Amino acid sequence: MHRALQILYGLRQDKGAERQPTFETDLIDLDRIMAGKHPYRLSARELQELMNSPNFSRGASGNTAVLPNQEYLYRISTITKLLSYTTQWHSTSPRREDLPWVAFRFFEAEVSRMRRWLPLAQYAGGEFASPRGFSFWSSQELMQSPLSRLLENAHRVGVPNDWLDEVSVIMRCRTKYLESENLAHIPTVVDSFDSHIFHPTKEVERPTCGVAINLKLSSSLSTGRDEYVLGPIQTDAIEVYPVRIPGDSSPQIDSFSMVLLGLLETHYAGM
Amino acid sequence: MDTNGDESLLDKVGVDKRYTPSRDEWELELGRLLVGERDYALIQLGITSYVDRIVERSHDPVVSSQNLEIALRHVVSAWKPHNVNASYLTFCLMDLLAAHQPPEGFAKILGFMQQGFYFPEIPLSQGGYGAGHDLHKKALLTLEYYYPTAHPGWREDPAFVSYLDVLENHLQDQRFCSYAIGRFVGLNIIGIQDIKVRSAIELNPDAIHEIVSFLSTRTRLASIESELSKVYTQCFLVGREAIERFEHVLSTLGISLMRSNDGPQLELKLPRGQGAITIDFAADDVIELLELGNDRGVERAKALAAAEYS
Repeated sequence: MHRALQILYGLRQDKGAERQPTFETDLIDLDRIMAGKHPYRLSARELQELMNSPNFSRGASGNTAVLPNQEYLYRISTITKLLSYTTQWHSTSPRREDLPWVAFRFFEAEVSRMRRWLPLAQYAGGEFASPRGFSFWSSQELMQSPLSRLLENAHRVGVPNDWLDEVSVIMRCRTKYLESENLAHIPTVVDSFDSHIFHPTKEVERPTCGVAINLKLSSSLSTGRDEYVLGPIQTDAIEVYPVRIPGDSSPQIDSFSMVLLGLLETHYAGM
Repeated sequence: MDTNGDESLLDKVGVDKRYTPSRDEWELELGRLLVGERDYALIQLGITSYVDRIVERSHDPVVSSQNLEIALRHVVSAWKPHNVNASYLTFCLMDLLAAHQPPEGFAKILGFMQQGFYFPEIPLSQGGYGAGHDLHKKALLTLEYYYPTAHPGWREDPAFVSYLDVLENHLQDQRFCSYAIGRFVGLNIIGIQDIKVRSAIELNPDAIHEIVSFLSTRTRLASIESELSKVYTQCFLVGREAIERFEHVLSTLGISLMRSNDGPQLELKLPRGQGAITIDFAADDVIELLELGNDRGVERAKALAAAEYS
């Protein structure tokens, strides 16, 4: 697997610099920090070294994206990420430090009482963003059922099963708010430097948004839905919906499966 | 050494469906997790889901789970909470302790806190798993997982009594007194009219949020009404800022309120169709409130008079 990831990294660096030349020097700098090793299975120490570089630690520096004429953008991720990436958490049920499945039970109970999406502001008063200051979203509508449809849609936005947990959460954010705050950007090769699943758009084509890789396993991978990196989002623009995804749910695609790594290699080589 | 070329236990059980990790393999994997070698996976899943996934995918999940428990006890026994350069390890371990509750873990955290030490905050700039978290808050919550409620006969349980001592110490700390007082009330060790509640509110008004949040999860309306009245009274005893904070906390919890006839009574409409209640001063405290009101009035009059003459 290590060899396959190293090959993907080489391809991604070449194609990334070619398609998004604005970030070529950043890629070279980051490669120097990684001393030639691929960044797709980072240790905490390696991540810290990358975080020491402003090129890496401050993301979402791509051009402003044009948002779709749609009420919401969506995102799916684990409860762990939701709790970690949300600041000024004030709720005591759950607390930010709770175990993910305990937090999930609180969300689940609230949804079953309220029968609607839960405003994130009910739990926290700050912002939602990774430590690098952004998160990936798409206009692909994500609904909690049926589960197989949810997973297919997650795959369309480049999210494999093993990036999700049995206790996960769908999030949606109002596009009007994003427009007014100018928060949506086109994802860059630097934003996704540490992810082996990413389709770099071509700068010369002046794209209006990013494009995900559709992870549907067939003879070759195709591009999926639109994607955006959003800067720190106020919690009152976000709603969440807990979703239970058992580990053996299908369709099943793991990010490090050799089949997917092979298809990604072909995809990047053919760009 | 960083081992991003190394195969994790999760990779192994994913590929070889007839594989069950041994105790030694679990111990090694925990060692690698705790020093941050699997940060790429922990960022996504968190450590508890990561180890659960290995157990689920093991050929024999029961044996795998038992091997994990033994390996974890070994790792916890060797853990030195005083090591200030081990925030990542401590963050991971807290989650594992909360989830698996090996007895050694409780003793280690409690012993550390009994010495008056504090776990640090992990800076957001670190970027990885646990970045931006307050380890001391996490440690307090980890202890809570060991004792979610006060069990019958807790007075004869030295571990629980020591836990209460540690919570008591936190009542003097502005950062953690609100959590500690919430625990005392939640465990039913003290009542809301206890002087400790008032002191905690004076030290940090966040205590109101802790207590009211806890009370709002109760199901009996009469109980919510009488307990909230007591909190309301405590806020009156503390002063105007506490009353305003009390009203703010109610609104953040989705409780709408209306003051009746400019008096102290508050009409509250609880969320989720739980109904409506009226809260007022707790009868036991009316005399104290009147005396306090009188004292405050006298002080204010003196201050006004002094200002006029100066």
